[in-house]
Amino acid sequence: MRRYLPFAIIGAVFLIAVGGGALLFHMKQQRIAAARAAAAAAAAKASSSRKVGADPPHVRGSTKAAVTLEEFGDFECRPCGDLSPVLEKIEQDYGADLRVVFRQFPLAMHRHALEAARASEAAGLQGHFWEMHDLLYRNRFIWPGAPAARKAFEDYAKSVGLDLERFKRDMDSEQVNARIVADRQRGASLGVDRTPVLFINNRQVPANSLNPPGLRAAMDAARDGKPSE
Amino acid sequence: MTENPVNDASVTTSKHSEANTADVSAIRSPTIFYVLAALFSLVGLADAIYLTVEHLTGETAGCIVTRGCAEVLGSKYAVVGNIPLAAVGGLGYFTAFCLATLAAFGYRRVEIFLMLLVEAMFAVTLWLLMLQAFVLHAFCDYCLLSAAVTVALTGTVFAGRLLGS
Repeated sequence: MRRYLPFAIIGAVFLIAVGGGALLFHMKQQRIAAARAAAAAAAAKASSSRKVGADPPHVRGSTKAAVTLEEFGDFECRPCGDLSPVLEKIEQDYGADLRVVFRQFPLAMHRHALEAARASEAAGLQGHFWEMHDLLYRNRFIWPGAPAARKAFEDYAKSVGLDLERFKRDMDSEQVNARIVADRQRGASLGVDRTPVLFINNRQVPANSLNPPGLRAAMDAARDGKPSE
Repeated sequence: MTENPVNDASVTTSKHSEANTADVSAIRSPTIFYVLAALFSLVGLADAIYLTVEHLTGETAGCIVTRGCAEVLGSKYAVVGNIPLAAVGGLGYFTAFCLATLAAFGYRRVEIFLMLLVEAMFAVTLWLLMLQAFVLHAFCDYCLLSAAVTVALTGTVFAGRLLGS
């Protein structure tokens, strides 16, 4: 009996590994399909024309750039944070050819995401959106775990040189709220259902291309006027 | 496999019966190291399966500790031809698990294959760490976990082999 025991263990592990992998794959596929269906339903429910989003949007780069990259992001989403340095590098490499637009899409599942979006918008009202944007992503391992995330945002506001009293007022203002709602509506009208989602010249970048080679291929295709895959 | 398993614990005990107690024999037995190696292989296998599924579903796993998952897992080094590198790693870990399990049950002839396999895995791990450090300038949690597992696997297999010889 003991002679067969190792083979029985190996067989059991093989079955568990294959079965577990298949089950995980199936569950992920189902989740993706459900998300796509929800996005399609949201897009259908939204008005037939695309919503414009917050106006004016937060833009970094040349107004004459051949390529516009629009990001729907959530400051508490880890893949968004992982993507942030990748996008910074692409901005450096493509220089005047690229204009980046950031859209707020804070997800309800993240505890401080909405407050972080408010903080960035409040900084934007004083002309420092991108500094706050970069600080929030750079410190994304710190403030989500802080007992009072708002205090951290106020510290960042001070470090950027904002008028702190105005920043605090603006964070709770209707103007900031309206901008976030407008960006969310634009996202919903485009079928955005998660973060990060990128559009390059109004074409959505597939989720499996959200990496340096995939983004460069999409950027090059958009810059050269070719349809990206 | 026609080889008869050898009960390492009993052999060791008999060799040292005059000098050692049964507890000391158990500590010196290579079996415990091969059991540990099998367990480490299972951790590596689970990591590799997760990354393979993420790759096949077109998603990129998010980092928790480090910040370079998108860069590392989306790089050209994450695939071999059309096969995700994680799947190749999974195959390696499963083979290591099989060999370590057999070695733990006394199939001594597989030890040399296990040694060769973990040496190869260790070399690949060093190469992948070098790529992350000097080429991609980014690290990913899952890759570092895999590297740690391979280092632990190599250490335990070497320890088992030393005691076994």
